[in-house]
Amino acid sequence: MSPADATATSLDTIPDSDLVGRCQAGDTRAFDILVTRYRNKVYAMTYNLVHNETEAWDLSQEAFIKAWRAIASFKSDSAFYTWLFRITHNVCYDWLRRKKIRAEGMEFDDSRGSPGVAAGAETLPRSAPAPDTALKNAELGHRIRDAIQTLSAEHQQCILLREVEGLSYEEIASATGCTIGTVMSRLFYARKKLQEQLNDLRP
Amino acid sequence: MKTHPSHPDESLPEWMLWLDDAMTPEQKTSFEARLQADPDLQAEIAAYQQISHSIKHALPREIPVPHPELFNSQIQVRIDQESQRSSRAKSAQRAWYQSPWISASAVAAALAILLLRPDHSPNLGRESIVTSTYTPDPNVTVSALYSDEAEAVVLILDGLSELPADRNLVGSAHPTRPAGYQSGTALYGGLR
Repeated sequence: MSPADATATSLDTIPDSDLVGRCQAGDTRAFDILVTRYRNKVYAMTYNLVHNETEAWDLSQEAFIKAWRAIASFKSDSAFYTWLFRITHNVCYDWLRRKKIRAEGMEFDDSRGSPGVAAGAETLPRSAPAPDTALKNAELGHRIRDAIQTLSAEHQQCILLREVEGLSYEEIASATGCTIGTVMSRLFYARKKLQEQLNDLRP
Repeated sequence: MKTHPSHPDESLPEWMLWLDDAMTPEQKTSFEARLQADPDLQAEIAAYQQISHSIKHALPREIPVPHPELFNSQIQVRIDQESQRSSRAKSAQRAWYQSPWISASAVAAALAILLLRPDHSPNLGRESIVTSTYTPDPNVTVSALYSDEAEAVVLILDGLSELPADRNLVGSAHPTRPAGYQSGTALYGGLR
């Protein structure tokens, strides 16, 4: 292992809390490590909401820059990624509100989708699926995305943070700035709506 | 991931709490006993699990950012730019009093505040009089006169640095410079 590799490995293992402390002291290199650590998650989160590669790229950058501006005020009473998701949520929510995406009837731009990410893939694509499987996955993916898009931004966020990110009620409440009761209520409503629309997926 | 809300929403079905692993151990044991004996409940949970599974597959938790190096470097550039702007703003705040324009304005403002007070002197104006003059800069001299046209006391500051012709001065009382005043003379007034 070269010295450079050793350094990279050691940087990768630094806990978030240490990196945040360095950022608060003005260390932009530490922030770069946090960006590298969370960029794929933040990008997925924004992409799942805005369904456009270019917009998701820009919004993800915006979320990280806002995080840098606010990092001096970050207190370690919550996990860094929860705090980052909250900022990302706000950035996306503002964007969705500005664009009034549903009111304008924007369609999901599948041609700009992440290459090789099939609807039936695990968190990251492993290999190209068989054509018939890929087609089914694509159709299913369209239906799921369409169904989720009928929900309000708040309900979308709750269902994505729970089902995709696997956050707990408390973490969702922290990320979205609402109470646990509101999170549960939104989850219930979102699930009910999804069940109504995807009823034929029942086994 | 354990989540045990202390006051679970009564409207949230138990099966959702169970799926989300949001029950206390006692609640979980009790619910699972009922689940064993309730095929309808099992079907309802299986139906939602199918949807949940589909969501996870349709919406990846991580998607590789296109052009990741560029992604990071652009963020770094913007952070550096903001840091530089912030540093410049701080420097500007520290050095505001070193600006010649601010110094000139400060001289005029100091004169306006300190040297004039309401009075009824007949030789300078109906309501104001200059009692004494002082300028922090010894190269600047002050004279005063009452302008009938402007109906105001006019302070003339000689010796200030020349202002650019196109500079838009805030607070200059007279839009046109009286004939005979040389470039480099500042005209302030408007006090009654």
